[in-house]
Amino acid sequence: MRFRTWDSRFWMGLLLLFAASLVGCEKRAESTEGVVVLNVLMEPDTTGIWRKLFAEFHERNPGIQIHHVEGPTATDAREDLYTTSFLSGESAYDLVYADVVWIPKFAAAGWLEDLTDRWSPSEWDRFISGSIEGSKYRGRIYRVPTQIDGAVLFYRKDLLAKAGERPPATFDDLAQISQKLQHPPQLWGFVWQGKQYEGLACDFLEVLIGYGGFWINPDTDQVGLDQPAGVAALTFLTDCVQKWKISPPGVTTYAEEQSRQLFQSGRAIFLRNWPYVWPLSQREESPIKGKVGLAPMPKSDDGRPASTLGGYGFAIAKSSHHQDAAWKFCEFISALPQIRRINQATAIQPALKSFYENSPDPVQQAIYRVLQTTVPRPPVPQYAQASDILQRYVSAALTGRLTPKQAMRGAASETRLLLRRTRTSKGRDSHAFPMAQLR
Amino acid sequence: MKKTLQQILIWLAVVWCLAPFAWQIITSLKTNAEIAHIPTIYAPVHPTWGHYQELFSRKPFARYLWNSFLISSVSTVVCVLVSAMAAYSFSRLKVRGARGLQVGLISISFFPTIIFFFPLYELVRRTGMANNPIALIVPYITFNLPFATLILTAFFRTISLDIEEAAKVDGFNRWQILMKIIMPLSAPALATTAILIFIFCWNEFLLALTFMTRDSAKTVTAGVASLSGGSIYEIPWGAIAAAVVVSTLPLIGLVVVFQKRIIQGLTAGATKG
Amino acid sequence: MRTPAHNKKMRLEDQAFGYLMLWPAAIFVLVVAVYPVLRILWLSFFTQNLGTGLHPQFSGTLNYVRLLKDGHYWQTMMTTTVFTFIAVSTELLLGLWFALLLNEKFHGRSFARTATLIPWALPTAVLALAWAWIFNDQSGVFNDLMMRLGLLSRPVAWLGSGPTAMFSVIFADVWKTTPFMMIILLAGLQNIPEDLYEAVQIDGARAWNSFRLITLPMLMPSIMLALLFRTIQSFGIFDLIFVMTGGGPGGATETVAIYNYRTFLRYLDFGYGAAMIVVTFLITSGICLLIYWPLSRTRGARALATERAVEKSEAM
Repeated sequence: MRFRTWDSRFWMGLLLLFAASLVGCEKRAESTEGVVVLNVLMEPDTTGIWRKLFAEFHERNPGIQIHHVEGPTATDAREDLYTTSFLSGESAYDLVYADVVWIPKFAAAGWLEDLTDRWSPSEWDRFISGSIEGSKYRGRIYRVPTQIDGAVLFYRKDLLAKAGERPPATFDDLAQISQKLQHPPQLWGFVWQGKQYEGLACDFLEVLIGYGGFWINPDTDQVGLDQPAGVAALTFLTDCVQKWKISPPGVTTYAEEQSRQLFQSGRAIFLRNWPYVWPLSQREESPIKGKVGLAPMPKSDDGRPASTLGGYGFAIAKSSHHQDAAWKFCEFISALPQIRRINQATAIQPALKSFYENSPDPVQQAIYRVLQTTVPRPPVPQYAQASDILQRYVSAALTGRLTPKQAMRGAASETRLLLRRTRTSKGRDSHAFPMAQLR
Repeated sequence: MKKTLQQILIWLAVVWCLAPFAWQIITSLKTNAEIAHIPTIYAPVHPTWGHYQELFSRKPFARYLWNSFLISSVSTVVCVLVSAMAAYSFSRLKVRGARGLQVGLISISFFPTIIFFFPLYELVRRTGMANNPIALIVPYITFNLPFATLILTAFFRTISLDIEEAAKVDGFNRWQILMKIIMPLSAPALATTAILIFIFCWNEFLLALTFMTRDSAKTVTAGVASLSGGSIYEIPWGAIAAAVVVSTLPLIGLVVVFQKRIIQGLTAGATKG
Repeated sequence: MRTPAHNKKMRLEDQAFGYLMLWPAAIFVLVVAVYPVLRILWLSFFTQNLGTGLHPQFSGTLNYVRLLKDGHYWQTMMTTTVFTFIAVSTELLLGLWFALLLNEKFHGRSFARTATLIPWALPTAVLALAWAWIFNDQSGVFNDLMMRLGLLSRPVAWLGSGPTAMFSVIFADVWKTTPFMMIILLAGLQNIPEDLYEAVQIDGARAWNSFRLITLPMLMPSIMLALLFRTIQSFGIFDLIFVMTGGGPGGATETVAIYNYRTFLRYLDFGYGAAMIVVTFLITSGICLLIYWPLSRTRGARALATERAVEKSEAM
């Protein structure tokens, strides 16, 4: 008798646990009382603007609701989350808030809906052309750009004025002014993003173009990293940390936020970062309010100032069951009134031309000028691999494990191997990226 | 003299083991200003529960805990049952081919998870099981089978055959003997095995990270690990510390209550292997 | 009681029942372990990546050729080997020391054993975050403690450069896995018969001698087992480093498992990832054989030690 009760209780318990596990696996919130729910993974909504816009969209379209899934701030961490989600075949997301560099990979993998025919060419033409180029894969458009980003050199106008210096036009100027004015660890010369992540590839690309070099030519598959310009570019970044010591040693671990915090606490003269820094630095409690200037990135005599093209936009997942609803949202969010409000709240730079054409703000005009210098990253499907190769070698040089020359040689030969081995099996569409790397 | 030195060394070892975790508790109770303060503040002046509240309000943290609990418990129960059956067969019944299975099981325990990861991922993708607890439960059962069968086989061998003979005479069949006599008699060994399996399941990361892509389906281990850098303004170390504390408390509880059993189980698993 | 016929019938039933009892376990093993291993072998002869539109194309041994030339792979292999060698040997020494300490009887032994179990029981991925915080360059407690002790003059960005990041992850790994070493070695210690020590003590040997002559040889099988197990685990290390440094900076802490994971889920280079698993497995197996070979010989060593001790006690 004793055994029997033990037995039956055991089976009952097991049954309950199984039942519970089935309850636990209810499907994603697709519809609550006839309302379509669109899921999108984005960085945390610290300003609350997205929450407001999503609510407003829901008011105008009572049948559709946007569900914001909070992801990490690091771009490639969110890319990995989207990737695993799509690859698993049970995607959690209807909308993809996509960075420029994800488009070739996601489109090549067949995860994104082709949006080209949803708008007429003149409607697509309302956006800054760079942001549309960054939304294309093999000539088709997969993304509605809402934001365009380009690196800006922020500088302390007060310190430069006191020393009688002008914002640096060349890399040498930057290094000289930094060495002259800095007194570390209270005040560093130049802070940027030296952590081994996508931001490092962006930082490097700007210096590379500034020295007159190129990374990958998507039309010919040529790799230019080990040419003299590439070595010179990496030598400059390495010298910032090791030789001139104008960048703190911790810069090799900094992403955007760590570098901004140092600059905003008044402990750096120059900062390479995205435009979002501007309004944050002008807040009431900011110790550098009114002391910050904006300039394009410096260059060398052989190159031109370059600003890596970044920026997000909304793409629609092929696996979504609600593509028309998702498109409605894309139309809503890319319209000027919404774009203006996002810009006011977050300093995200709009991709809409009309925003700048009507703006009286001199700072916006200055940023618009910087955005003219934007260069895209190589639009190849294996960009992630190419970027990881570059990051690894650049980071190795910054931390002193390789000389700049060794690093660039290694990066170039691995990149060539990567492109050769994957390009042999298929014909390439050379019309996909007419303007790509060498504009 | 020698005794005192020894005592000091022992307490050093204890501090070494506990300090990193204790530091998380302290951090989780400090205010953000205290966390960022230099030099480091060791005793929070204004202890706060704020980070814990932040944790539960910003992320479905209770859901993570529930998922972990559910997946670990179901895996544990099924794994113990399946391995008890196999162990009974290994210890009592001379079945041809059993040796092969035993060797197979032992080799699994030597393979790192990454070997099985991608084909399992493909399976999960093809069967549409992503975000379904079963996608984790099935591998967790398998990964713990080697260890569980090992301990249970060894334990079953220590149970006297006379009891089974007597039960046979009383008209019990084999299944009844296993479920109603052997299993209850083995309660201590079953409990030990179950505790260890539970801990392994709770701690698994690679599969939990990749098979569960929805926030609502994540286990606490994967959920906490993807928490870093969750804020655009500052890396929320206070909230991370709070998450570390909450997600590990159940395990601390298990260790404190079942310390003896865990050591016994681990040594049995190790020495019998 | 039992007739021969009854006996035979019972045995037949036993066979059938035995199979029945093994089936569930066998199915789990087939689906979750055997199938994946075969699938990986199969896949390693195909190219399936973004270049082929994620469709598999037979490519013979191309993946293996690529792997041989992939400096990144061999770099991660080197990193993993260095990590394993330093971490596992440190753990062994520390674990042995802990085991010797906790084998003695003292007040609060139960508490001490519980405390030393804590690092083992906690999830590695979660504790990796805790360690990242401890090694933080600005407000990390490790810097503060080192400066208070006068070992550092200014804060170090521990996770910011290759060698210090490697030190940090090894430090965390040693903390995490020493208890496991300790438990296995403790069990080994408890299996050594007391009278062996008595024999040597009468012989007038000092503590070091009894450790060298009895404890160490008698413990050898446990040590080898622990080494074998930890080496395999350490070669597959993923959680700790993935969360703590992500393999950075400069790939200085990127292990094979992390590169393998990225090849699958970030680069979507499936066939190549499969080939990487096969090669990594072969290398790991080779290293295990190197460790296992002396293990099989220590049985002899152990017997010898026992014999010698018994001889001595008999000679008294």
